[in-house]
Amino acid sequence: MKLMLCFRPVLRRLYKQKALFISFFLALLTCPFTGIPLLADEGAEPWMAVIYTEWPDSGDYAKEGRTIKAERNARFGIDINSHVDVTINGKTLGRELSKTLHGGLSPKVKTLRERVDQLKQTADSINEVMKSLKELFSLWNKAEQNPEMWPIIREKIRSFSNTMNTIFETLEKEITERLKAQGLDETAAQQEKDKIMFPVLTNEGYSWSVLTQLFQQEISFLDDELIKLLPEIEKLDIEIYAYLIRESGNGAQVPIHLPLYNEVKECLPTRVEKLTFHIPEEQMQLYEQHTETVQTMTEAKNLAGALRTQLELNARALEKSINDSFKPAVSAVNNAGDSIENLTYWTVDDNIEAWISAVGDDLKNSPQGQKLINSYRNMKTSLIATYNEAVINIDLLKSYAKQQQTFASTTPESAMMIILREMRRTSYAIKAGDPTMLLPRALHPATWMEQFDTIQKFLDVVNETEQQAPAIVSNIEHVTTEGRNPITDAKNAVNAIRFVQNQLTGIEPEVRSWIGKVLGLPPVLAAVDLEPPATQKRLTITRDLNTSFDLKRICGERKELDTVRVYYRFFKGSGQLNAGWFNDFQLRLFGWRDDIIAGISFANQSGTSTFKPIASLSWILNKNRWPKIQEDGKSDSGVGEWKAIEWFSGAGITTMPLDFDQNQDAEIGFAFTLSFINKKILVGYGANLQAENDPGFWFFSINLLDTPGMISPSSKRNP
Amino acid sequence: MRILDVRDGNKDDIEKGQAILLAEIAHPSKTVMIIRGDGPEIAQFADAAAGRSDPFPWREVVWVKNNSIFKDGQEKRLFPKGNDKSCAVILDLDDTPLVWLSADSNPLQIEKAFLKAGSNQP
Repeated sequence: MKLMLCFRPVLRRLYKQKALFISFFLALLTCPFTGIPLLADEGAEPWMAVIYTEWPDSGDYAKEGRTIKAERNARFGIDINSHVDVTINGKTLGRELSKTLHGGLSPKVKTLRERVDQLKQTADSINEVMKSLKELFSLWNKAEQNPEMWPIIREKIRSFSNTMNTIFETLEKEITERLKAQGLDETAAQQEKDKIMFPVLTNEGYSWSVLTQLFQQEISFLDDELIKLLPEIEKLDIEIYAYLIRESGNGAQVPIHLPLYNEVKECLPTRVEKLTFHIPEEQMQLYEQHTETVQTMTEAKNLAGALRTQLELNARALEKSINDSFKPAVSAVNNAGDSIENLTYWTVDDNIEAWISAVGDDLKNSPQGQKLINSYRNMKTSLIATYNEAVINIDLLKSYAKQQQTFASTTPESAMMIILREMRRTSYAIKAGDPTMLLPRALHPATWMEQFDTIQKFLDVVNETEQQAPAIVSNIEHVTTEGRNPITDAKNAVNAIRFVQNQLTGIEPEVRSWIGKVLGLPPVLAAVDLEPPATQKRLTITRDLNTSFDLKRICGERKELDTVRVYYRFFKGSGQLNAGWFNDFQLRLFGWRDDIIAGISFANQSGTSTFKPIASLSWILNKNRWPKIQEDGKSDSGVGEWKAIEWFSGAGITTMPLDFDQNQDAEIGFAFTLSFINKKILVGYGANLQAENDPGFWFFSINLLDTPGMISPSSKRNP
Repeated sequence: MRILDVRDGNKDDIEKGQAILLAEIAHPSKTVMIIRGDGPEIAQFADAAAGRSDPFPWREVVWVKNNSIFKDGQEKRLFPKGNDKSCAVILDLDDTPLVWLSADSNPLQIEKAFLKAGSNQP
């Protein structure tokens, strides 16, 4: 509308003068009064000028920081207790923004730009050539035993040499050009160029860092030249602003202080604790609902029946809570039942052993396969040790409970609170170096960290095998016992759950946001761009542009999966250039963390076949890995995605009320618990603390949907 | 780097040298540099060539110090007219002589010669 008002008189006149239409169109593109973005050059990549360095207050990157290269509208995961430096290379920014300025550019400017682009493009191929060189070495080692691989290797050598040749030629040409422009004659320039290039060659092959630096240096020289020829760059302004956007969608977005750019108030630093030993109100509410729900349920006669009931419960909750558009999801949840049920076959040790001996030859014949077997055996040994220790721990806990009368006539939630309090106390005592640790080992968080690491090591070897020796995985996927294969069964189960998630996308945003939270999907952010805060400043791009933001000093509560969105906007006078972008930073809890999960579990007392539905509370310890820095120096995004399913997602303790002993009023079950597939499946073994005989029981719990209100007392099951 | 020399016209040395040269050239996936001649300048060049070959298993340098190791006509085929003053030749992956170098070549020129030979299409 603004645009139309600006040009209405002109438009009327031009309607009859088609010859001038083109002029009108061109004028429209550069109309400085409309406030609309000027036409951008597709090739402009101003985000290349921005590098973030995340400084978490603990963990892998606390000392050296984690470097993240900005990309257009990209999302990154950063630790919730970090601050981020934003480093902006003014020259790169100027060069890229100059691409958005049309008209009046000299041929020299155009040539310089083309040279920069060529250098950039070639420099980008360094990462690829590094990878191909590594691959070539690996193939060469294998080819010594497999002569049929030589033709493949020859092609790889050709491709590597060709790219490397281009890299050298492009760089040498630019260095020589520059030296000649600086006044050296051809021969002197060649000699000087060789001197500059020599450090690239090393006894190990090449110095990639020197090579990269030389490219950056030449790009920087060209940028200097370019900026001298573009005085209008000095008239460009930048505006950077940021907001904390809550994942829940509740409450206003919180503006964030960015030094130089605004005067948003900062608050005193706050730290989000990752090991809280605390039951969130939401989970307590859910537990209470589950307690009522299980009153309406009857026990299942066997494991399959119990599994079915769990899945039906999830499906019905979904069906009841949301409208018809969820029907496919309901059916998907039901279908997931079959897949998950198949997994129970592999909970029987004899079945796993039979399968392992069937694939034994395949595995034993390769070092990676042998590593896989060893790792499995280590894990098994460790788990057996855990089991044995669990029994001892339960005895210790029982005697502790008797001595202190701690768990006498208590409820599971009180029992959980006691356990959490003791864990917190133990944790603080460990931190303080208190040697008087007389509590059962089960209450040492370090015990669970050890268990988690052991299982994780096995899974790492499995992943490594899939990547390094796909043939082994492919072979053993065809080995079955009784027509079953654990890898296929496990993959099917994950796919079934993923299918549920897929069915839940493409629905109303507010519901998706809510479901997304449950399933760990990325938050739905407001589609509308936020305007800058009131104290926003614009800076000319030729000055120091670096800034930073500190998550710990944002005024207002921040939670996991909240997002910090940083906007970049550019102006020439009052006209906005079409070169802006934003970056989203999802707040994550990296490193050790704990969660309390309320669920409906099915518990099976030793010596019986029935499964009783019971409301339970689980404390689960998990290690969320820090994002890795790849060989090419690029960081993993660190964003939590559903597709990044954690097969094994934690270990911990579950409390639940049991009703196994007719002679006891209150019975508390205390179970050692493992969690799988993003904490949606919990399995555990434990003891009835009050039972005199047969105290052992095991339980499992499937909670695809675990938000208060989803699984309610009115959800009934078929007996 | 393989250094091939002959002790006082020793036939055995010549035969062994020929066999080694042949085997290196026949390798299915190597770019082979053949250096000929002897002397301080050649030794310096050979040293630089080894520096650019050693890091990569698909590059090989064979220094033929004594030209009696070359079979009949072999030296002429490797160093034909126009390149007959060169001290080294690099064969591509198909064993075709492709790049010739003089003894004053620096490591950068040697590196680029290896890359050129490595990237040559049949």
